[in-house]
Amino acid sequence: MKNLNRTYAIASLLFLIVLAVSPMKNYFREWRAVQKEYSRMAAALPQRVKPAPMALQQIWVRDLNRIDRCTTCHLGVADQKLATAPQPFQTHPKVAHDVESFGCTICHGGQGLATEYAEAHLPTTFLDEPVLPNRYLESSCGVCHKGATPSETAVLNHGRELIQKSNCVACHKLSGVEKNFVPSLDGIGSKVNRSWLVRWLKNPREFRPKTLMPDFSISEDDAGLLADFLMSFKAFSQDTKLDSLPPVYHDRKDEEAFVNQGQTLFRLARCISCHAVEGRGGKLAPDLAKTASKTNATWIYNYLKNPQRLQKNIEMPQYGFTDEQLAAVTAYIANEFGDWEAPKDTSGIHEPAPNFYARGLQLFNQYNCGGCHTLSSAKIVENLGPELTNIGGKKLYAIDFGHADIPRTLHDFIYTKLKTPRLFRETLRMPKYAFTEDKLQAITTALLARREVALPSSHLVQEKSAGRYEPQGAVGEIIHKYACLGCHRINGRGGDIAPDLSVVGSQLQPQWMERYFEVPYSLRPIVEERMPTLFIAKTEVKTLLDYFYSVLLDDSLAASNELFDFSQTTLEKGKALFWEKYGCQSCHQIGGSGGYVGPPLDQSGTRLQPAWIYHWLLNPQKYKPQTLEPRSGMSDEEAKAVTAYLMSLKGEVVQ
Amino acid sequence: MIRIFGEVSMSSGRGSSRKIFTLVLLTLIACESPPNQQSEIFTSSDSLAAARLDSLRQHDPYVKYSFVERQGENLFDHYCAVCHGSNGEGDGFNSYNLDPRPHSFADTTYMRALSDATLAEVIARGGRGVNKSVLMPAYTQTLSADRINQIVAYLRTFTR
Repeated sequence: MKNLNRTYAIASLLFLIVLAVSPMKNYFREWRAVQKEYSRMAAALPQRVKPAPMALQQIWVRDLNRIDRCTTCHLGVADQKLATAPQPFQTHPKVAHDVESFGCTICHGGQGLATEYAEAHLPTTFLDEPVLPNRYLESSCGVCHKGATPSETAVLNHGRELIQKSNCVACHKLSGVEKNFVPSLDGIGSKVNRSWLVRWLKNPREFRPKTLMPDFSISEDDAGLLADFLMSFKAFSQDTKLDSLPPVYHDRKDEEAFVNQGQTLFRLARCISCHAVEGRGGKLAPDLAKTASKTNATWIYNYLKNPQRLQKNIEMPQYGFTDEQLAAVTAYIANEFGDWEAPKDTSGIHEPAPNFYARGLQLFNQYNCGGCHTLSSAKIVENLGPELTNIGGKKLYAIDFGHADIPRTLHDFIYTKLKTPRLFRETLRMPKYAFTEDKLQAITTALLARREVALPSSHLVQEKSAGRYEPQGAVGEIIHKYACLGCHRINGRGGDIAPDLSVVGSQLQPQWMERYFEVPYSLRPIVEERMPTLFIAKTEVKTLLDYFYSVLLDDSLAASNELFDFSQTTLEKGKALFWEKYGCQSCHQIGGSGGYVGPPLDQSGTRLQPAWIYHWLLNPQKYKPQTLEPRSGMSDEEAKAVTAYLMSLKGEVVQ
Repeated sequence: MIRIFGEVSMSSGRGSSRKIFTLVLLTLIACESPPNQQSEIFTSSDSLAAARLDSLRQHDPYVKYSFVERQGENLFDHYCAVCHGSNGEGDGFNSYNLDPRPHSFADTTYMRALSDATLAEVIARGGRGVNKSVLMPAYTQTLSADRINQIVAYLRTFTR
């Protein structure tokens, strides 16, 4: 009995101790230490701030089904007075989404419900989505903003551009990304020579440092087999045959006068607007410096004559050269653009190995060359890498880190994969790209954004569908022939290099435009790319102008063309506003004085339509959201006066 | 800590009640949370902020600018750099056409004399609005007050 009593007493005591454990544990919680630290910090501040609540805090976002307790420690998130406080107490910078209605983990990742540092921030056994490092933070923007990217997310946008430009989609499925133009390999045997091709396959960047083609690090033997395989494709698609070079080429190709004529035409056509020569010139097309060591004269001649015949969909205009002019340009390229440092080809006549075709085809398929380049051979099979559509949501257990010694996180995996693709295993196929640190970071961000998160559809900002603009008939033919949409955009389709032409008929005067086609000059010195001289036929110009002035219009601009008063007094008033009130000369030049950020306005009276000037002055961003010109806040009256002044400027352009 | 309680109760236990103690001990062990590698950060109160910032920098060497400064950088490069130069030294390519030339933002004494509010006002109202050169345009109709403040934050990084 006594024994029993004692046992009972001890058991009761133990029970009390056990009861005490829970409040004890609670008292020693990590977040209490942080909140105490907050109180100490707040007491030392000159300004009065809200005291620590000494309790767990949480934000419940019903729409997104998230409960985030981050504000338990991050106490200053919504308090502007703590903008300079040390972390974790600092004010959250102002962003488009407020913390109360979006919570924290939707953007930053981590475990919202956790109340301990490690569980909330670091990868743990049960949750492998640690807090995203700041450098990849913009990836969270991309989860909702699928296509229409806000201008604030520069890194994400850059990454998305790079994914498009590097043609990742050739080997990896990625929803919403379109394949890039990559030259077709049909007829490559009639275009290049074998020794160049071997060199190129071994390391493309050695020949052309800025090429987009990655380095597959293939061996000398494999490169030889692949080159033999490719050189066997002599015929172009659709029964296209190369024209032979005209007799004048053979007669005069080494004559200095003839080569000089080619050089003059090369300059007149402004080839270097798109092509660089030894690194100097445009960035849109390949560097021509060593072209003659790669391609033969017959191919160059035929290509210049009609680029799209040999290379479907290429964005190179078909210049209106005569055969003799073409021969002269060909002679210039063949003479001037050799590779003087190329290793001498001493192998003599090359005899391909007996099984070169089968082995070459096998290599071609192994590295999925057909993902980028088309080649009309029935045996080409698609051999894709892993799909990347949901790569940002990939679980750690599904990632093969191989023998790479890197932190076990998804972002480190993607980053390393892009930087040194074969670090994980030598047998991997992914080629090496020359991405800089910034680019690696940007692409990683854009890939991390590719994660499916359960969100209400109201939160998703869907992609704008690409423009479906497709001009038909004679106009369509001309626009296609001169590759206008390579640089200009019309109704949502085309490039961003040159001005948008969607309402060009309401902006420019027809007489000016007609002259411009004959001798295009650069309106905006700030833009490196120049409009090429296309040697375009007069009838074609007329067809285009008819189209511009009957279709590419903005009717709201036409209506106000009669509103202007061009009297001397208004004009003088406009002049004073231009020079003395709004300081337009900081960007625009008139009579040789002023800046050159915007186009010079010497000729604005013969170039522009008054209604366009007027509406542009009132709100430049309405027509071109990215323009540098700020909205000046001019009154209606003032804008009309400045329009009158600009319309009076009809001077000859200073070239 | 919890384990200590377990040991205390063990030492007071005897023979026949061992089973109960073991049970209690097991319960207590089950209550214990997993070891926490990070809690040492919170031990030294004064260096807490410094330690957190340090660890942030260590993990994130690319964070040169704060969020606001980065936003400001994007805007500055787009709108301002043509005249003020991408390093803020007043040497943008268009600065050579301007009289007076833009002042360098890397000049510490010059910048110290200007408050954030003044800088924001110049950007918003332009040179004309503050009786300076009309060549500096006003951005109040183009950029919101928040965007202008982001640019001001970025201007401060040139003298940091």
